[in-house]
Amino acid sequence: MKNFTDQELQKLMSQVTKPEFRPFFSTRVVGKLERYQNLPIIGSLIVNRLYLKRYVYTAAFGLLLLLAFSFYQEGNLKLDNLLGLGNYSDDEILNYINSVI
Amino acid sequence: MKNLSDEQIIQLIKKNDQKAFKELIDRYEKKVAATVINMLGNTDEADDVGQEVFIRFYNNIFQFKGTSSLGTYLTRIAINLSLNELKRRKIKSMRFDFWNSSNPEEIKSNEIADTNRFENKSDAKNLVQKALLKVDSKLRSVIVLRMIEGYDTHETAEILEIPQGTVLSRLSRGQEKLKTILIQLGYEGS
Repeated sequence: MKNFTDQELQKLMSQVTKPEFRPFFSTRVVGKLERYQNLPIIGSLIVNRLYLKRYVYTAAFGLLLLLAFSFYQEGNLKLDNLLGLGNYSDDEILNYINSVI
Repeated sequence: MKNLSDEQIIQLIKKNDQKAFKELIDRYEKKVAATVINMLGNTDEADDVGQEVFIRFYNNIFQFKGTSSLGTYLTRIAINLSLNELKRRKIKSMRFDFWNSSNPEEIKSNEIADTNRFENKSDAKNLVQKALLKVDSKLRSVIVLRMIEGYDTHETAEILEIPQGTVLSRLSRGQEKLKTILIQLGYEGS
C-alpha cells in the first residue's frame, strides 16, 4: 500500500477547487428572509420547530410520567385523578372554590 | 455600496437596508460556500444551510460585537449549522436503518461498487472531496478550516470553540484518516 507525506497531502488539498452555491444565491437568501418576515407568529414557530423540539419532547415525557404515576396510584386515568381531585366530591370542590373566591 | 467597509454595511443592515444585506452576502458567499460544501458535499441541503447562515446572521445582527472578523463569525455559524445538519442526517440514517434493516453484506458490496464507479472517472480533486466526506465530522471541520480555508490553529480553535491542543490532535488524526481513505479510494500519488 502506498504511503504519502503530510506535504503531499497539503499539496493535494490546495488543489481542491473552491466550491460555489447555485446562481442567484443572494437573491434567494433575501427572498427567503422576506418570506420568513411575512410569516404570522404561529408560522414562524412552525418554521423554528427544530428549536422547540426538545421542549416538546420534555413536555411529552413529563406528561407520560404523570399519567404513569396516576395510573400506578389510582389504577385508572381519570382527569379528576390527574388533577389530584379523585378523593373529593363535587360539593367539596365547589365549597373550596367558593371559599377562595 | 461596494466601497463601504464591513462595519458600515452592518450599520446599514441594522437599519433594515436590504441592499446592504445583499452586498454582504455577495462579499461572503464564496467563503461560506467553501465551508458548507466541503462539510456537507455539493447538495441541495448545503445550499439551504448556506442560506440559513446569512438569515441567522441577519436575525442576530445585534449580537455581533465585532470581537472577531465578520468572515470568522460567519464561518463559525456555517460550521455549527453544518455540524447540526450532519447530526440530523445521522439520526435520519439511523431511523432508516432501523426500519429497513438491510443485509450488512449487501450494504458493503454497494459501497465497494460505488467506490469502483468513482475510481473509473475521477481525478485527484474529486478524490479529495470524496475522501473528505468520509472523514468523521469533528475531524473534517478541523481539516476544512486549517487545510482548505487556511485559518491558523488559533483561529480554528476560536471558530470551533475548542482548545488549540485539540485542534492540533484532531488535525493530526484527520490527516492520517484522510490519507488512509485516499489510498483506499485508489489515490496513487502525483
